[in-house]
Parts: sequence; structure tokens; C-alpha cells
Amino acid sequence: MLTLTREVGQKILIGEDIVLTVVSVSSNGRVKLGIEAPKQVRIDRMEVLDRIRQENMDSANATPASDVAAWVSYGARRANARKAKPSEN
Amino acid sequence: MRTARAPLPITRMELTFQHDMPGFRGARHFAVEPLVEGTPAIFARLRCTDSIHLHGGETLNDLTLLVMSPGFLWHDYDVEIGELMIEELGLSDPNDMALLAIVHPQDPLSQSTANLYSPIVINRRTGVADQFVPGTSEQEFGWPLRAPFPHDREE
Repeated sequence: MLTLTREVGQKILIGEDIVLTVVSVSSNGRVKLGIEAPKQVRIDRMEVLDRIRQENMDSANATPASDVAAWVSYGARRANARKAKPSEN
Repeated sequence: MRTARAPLPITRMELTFQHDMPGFRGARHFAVEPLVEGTPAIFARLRCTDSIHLHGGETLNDLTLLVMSPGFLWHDYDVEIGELMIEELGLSDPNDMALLAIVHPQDPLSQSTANLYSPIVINRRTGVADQFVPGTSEQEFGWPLRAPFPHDREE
């Protein structure tokens, strides 16, 4: 991993058109970064994406191959429960 | 953009993701299949039709998830998607938008949870889709990664 030392207000250019700016550093260690990038570049918090990734994998592993009938009847019951309360539509 | 409508039962659909589904490299094409062929319902199977690589480099031959139309169980459920996603999914008409939540099944079934934090957003007209990644934590976003199924009175 490339490590660079920057001061508040200094920038890093990544590729042609992504600019990172160190906006502020607080005494409790929080760093505020500014990111300028073309709008088609997705920017996500890594830990958010990691949790979603893990939950997707866990859900896939837990998905039963059989037992379809139980889900079908549960789903039908919940759909009917909703229909029975038209005021919430 | 918001989807303040009555929830729709899930029908058969082919989906093309604009990005890999998180956790599954290469997972872009999916078939949405009602559990009972030809019967639209709350729950459906989401089956990937690509060959997938896990992050360790291992290949996965079968990726099938259980998904649901979340509005049936969480009546006020909604997400607000950003401009980039609106553009990528071609959702200039809000009526084209539909949401699916990935179910994390448990035994007993009523203990299952649904991922309301990061739903799959779909353009119903074109089948273009993606999993939504919030820019905020679960607390800020208001909908959890593992939302317990609301109590079922008949149980």
C-alpha cells in the first residue's frame, strides 16, 4: 500500500480526475476527506460494503433448497393479512 | 426518489445488474422466479445465471437467494436513491421502480430477517437493477441489515 503524508488542505490526484482533499483532522483522530470524482465513479464506505457483502453471503448459505411449501404458505398468509386491512393501502 | 405505492407481488423477471452483487464477483444476471411457477407472491427465488467468483478466488456454481417484496411486511418501507442510481437504472419515471429485499432465512421461518438496509432496486420496465449501498450507517439510514419479520398473529 502506498502511504502518503498530507497536511490539511493538501490534495492527492488519483488517475486523471479523482482528487482527494484532507479537509480537517480533529483531536480525536477523525479525518474529514473531500472527494472530487466524475459522477459515474461510485464512492462507498468500505465497512458498509463489507457488511452488505457478508450478509449477502450468509443469506445465500442459509437459503434452503427445499422447504418451499412453508415459504409459499407463510407468504400467502401475510399477503392476505395485508389485504384484510384496506385502510393501510 | 420514492416508491410510495402499494407493494406488488413478485412476478417472473430477468434482471441485469449494473455492478456485481456485493460478495459475488461476476454476478450480474439474475432470474427472479416465483416459488410456485406462474404464481406471483411475496417471496421469490433470485437465481444468478452467471458463473461467480468468491473473493478468495473460488468459483461458485449456484447462487440462489430468497427475496421478498418488502412492502407487504413493512408497510412504510421506502428508500431514497441518489442521482447516480436513478441515471444508471434509467428510473426517470418513479413508477418503473420496484424493490426487493434479500431474505436471511432461519429456522423457524418466522425468525428470518430481511435486508432492508441494502435492497435490490429494479427498473421493472427494463430489468436493469442494482443492490443499493447506503451512504450512511444503519442507525442514520433507519432500516436495518437484519430486520426481524414483524409478528405474525397466527403463530
